[in-house]
Amino acid sequence: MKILETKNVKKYYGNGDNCVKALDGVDLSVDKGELLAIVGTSGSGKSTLLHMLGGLDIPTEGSVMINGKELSKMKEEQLTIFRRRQIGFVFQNYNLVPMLNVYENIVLPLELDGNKPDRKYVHGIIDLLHLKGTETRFTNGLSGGQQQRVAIARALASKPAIILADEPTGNLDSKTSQEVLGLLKMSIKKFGQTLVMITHNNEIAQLADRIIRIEDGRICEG
Amino acid sequence: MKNKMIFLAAAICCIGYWSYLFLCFHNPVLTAVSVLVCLFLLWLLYLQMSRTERIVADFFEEINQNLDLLFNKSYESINNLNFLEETLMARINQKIVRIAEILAAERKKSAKEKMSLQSLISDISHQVKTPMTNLKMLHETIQHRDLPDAKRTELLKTMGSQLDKLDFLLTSMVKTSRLEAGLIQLKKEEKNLFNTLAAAVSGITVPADKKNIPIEVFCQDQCLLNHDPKWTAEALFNVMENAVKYSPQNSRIRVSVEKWEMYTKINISDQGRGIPEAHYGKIFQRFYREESSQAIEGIGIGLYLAREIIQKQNGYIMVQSVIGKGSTFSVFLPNAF
Repeated sequence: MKILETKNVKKYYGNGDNCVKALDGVDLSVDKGELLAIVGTSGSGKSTLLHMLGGLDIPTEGSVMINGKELSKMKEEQLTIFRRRQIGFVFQNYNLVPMLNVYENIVLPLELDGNKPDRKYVHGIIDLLHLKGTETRFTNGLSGGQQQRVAIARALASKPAIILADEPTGNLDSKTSQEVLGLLKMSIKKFGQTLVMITHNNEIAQLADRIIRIEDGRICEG
Repeated sequence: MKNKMIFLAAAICCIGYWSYLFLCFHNPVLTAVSVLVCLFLLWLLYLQMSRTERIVADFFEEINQNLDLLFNKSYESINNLNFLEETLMARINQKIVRIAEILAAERKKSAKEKMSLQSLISDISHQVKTPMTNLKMLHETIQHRDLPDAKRTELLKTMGSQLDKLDFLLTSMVKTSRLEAGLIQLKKEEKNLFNTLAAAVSGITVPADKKNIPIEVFCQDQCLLNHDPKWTAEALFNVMENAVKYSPQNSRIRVSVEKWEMYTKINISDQGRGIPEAHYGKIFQRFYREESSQAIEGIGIGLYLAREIIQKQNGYIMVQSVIGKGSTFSVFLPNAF
C-alpha cells in the first residue's frame, strides 16, 4: 500500500538564464512501513525533495500525494494541521526549543494540537530512546546524540504516519550516528511508521530497506 | 433525563413565583405580565436545551457512523473523512484514520509473512533438488553396472559429499523455517557475552586451523549483556564461518567487543576478498551468493540467518569492506532493551 507518491515533481528557482532546476521530474513512491534512504551529493536536490514531501514547499509542477491526498490542493491552514498530525520531522540541527526541558520538547507538538499527551506512550518512547533521567533537563546541556534522540522522540510522540528525516546524523560522529540510526530504525518498526531519510553517508544508508540515489534533481537508480 | 429535571424544577419555581405574586399583591395585571415573561424564559430555556441535545446527539451519531466505517473496513471512505480542522471531531477522525492505517498495515504484514513462508518452501524444494538428483544418479550407477572397485569407491565418496551437502542444507532450512515461522522465541537473558563468543569461535577453530588463520578475540572476561546466548552464538558463528571461508591461507581474523552507550558492538574483521559496496544490502538476502564466489561451497543462508537472529533481538548488522583487503561485519546488540 502506497503512503506517499510523487508524480513528475519539478522545482525551478529563478527563470530564463538564471533558472536553477533543483528538481527535474521526480517520480517516487513509498510503501507503508518502509524505511527509505535518499542519498546524493550536496546540491543534488535531496533536501528540496524532502521539503516537497513534507509540504514545506510547493512544487513548480507535478503533484505530491500523501495517503491519497494531494498536498498542493490543500489550504494553508489545512496543510498546517496536516503536517502537525501526519508528519514528524527530524532535522540535522535538532531544532529543539531551548527554553523547554526534554519532556516539554517531546510533547510540544501534541500540546500544540490540543491533545493531552498519552503519558504511558510518551514514557515508552523515552525509555526506548534511552532518555530516562533527562526529562527535566534543558536541551542545551545534552550531547548531540542525546539532543537528536529528543528530536526523534518528539517526532514519534504525535504518532505520525510518516517521519521525514533530513540528514538526521549529519552533526553526529560516526559512532553516535550508528547508535541513533539503530534506535530510529527500531522505533519506527515498532510503531509501524514510515521513514524517509536523507543522507550522504552510504554506511548509514545500509540500514534502509531501499536506497534511491538522486543526482541533478533526478532519481538515477533505485 | 437530567435536562428534563432541570426544566421541571424551573417550571415549579415559576408556578410558586406566580402564586406568591397573586397572593401577596392581588394584582391580576402584574401576575399576567410575570406569567408571560416566565413562560417566555421557559420557552427559551427549552429551545437552548433541545439545541444542545441535538448537537451532542449529532456528534455521537457522527462518531458512531465513522466507527461503523472502521467496523465495515471501508478504508476508502475513512480516508475521505475530514481530519484537517481544529475541531474535536477532526481530532477523533484523525485517530480513526490512524487506526484504520495500522489495521491495514498489520493485515498486510501477516499476508507478507505468509508469502515469505511460501517462498521459503519453494526455495527449499528448489535447493534440495540438485543434490537429490545427483544422489539418485550415483545410486543407480553403483547398483546397475559392473564397476571396478576403485571407481566404486570414488562414486561412494562423491555420494558421501552430496549427502553432507543435503544434510547441511536441511539443517539450515529447518533453522530458518523455524525462525521465520516464529516457532523459535528468542529468550533474552543477562549473560556473559564472552562465553557466547567462545561458543561461536570454538565452532570454527578446525576449519580456521586448516587454513592457518589465527582468530584473535578482544573481549573483557566479564561482559554482561542482555541477549539470547544460544542463537546469538549461532549468528556470530555464521559471520565468522564466512570470514574463514572467504579468506586466503595465513591471513588473520580479529574479533573485538566494544561497549557503547546504547549498543554493544561486536566487530568481526577478516582479510578476505571483500564485498563491493553495491552488494552490501544483497549479501544478507536469502540464497544470495556473490558471482565471484560460486566456486566456494555454500548456499547463501548464513548471513541471512545471522541478520534475522540479531534483528529479533532489536539489534542490527552492518558491513564495511575494501575489495581485496577484507571486510568488517559489525553486530550491534542493545545493552538494555
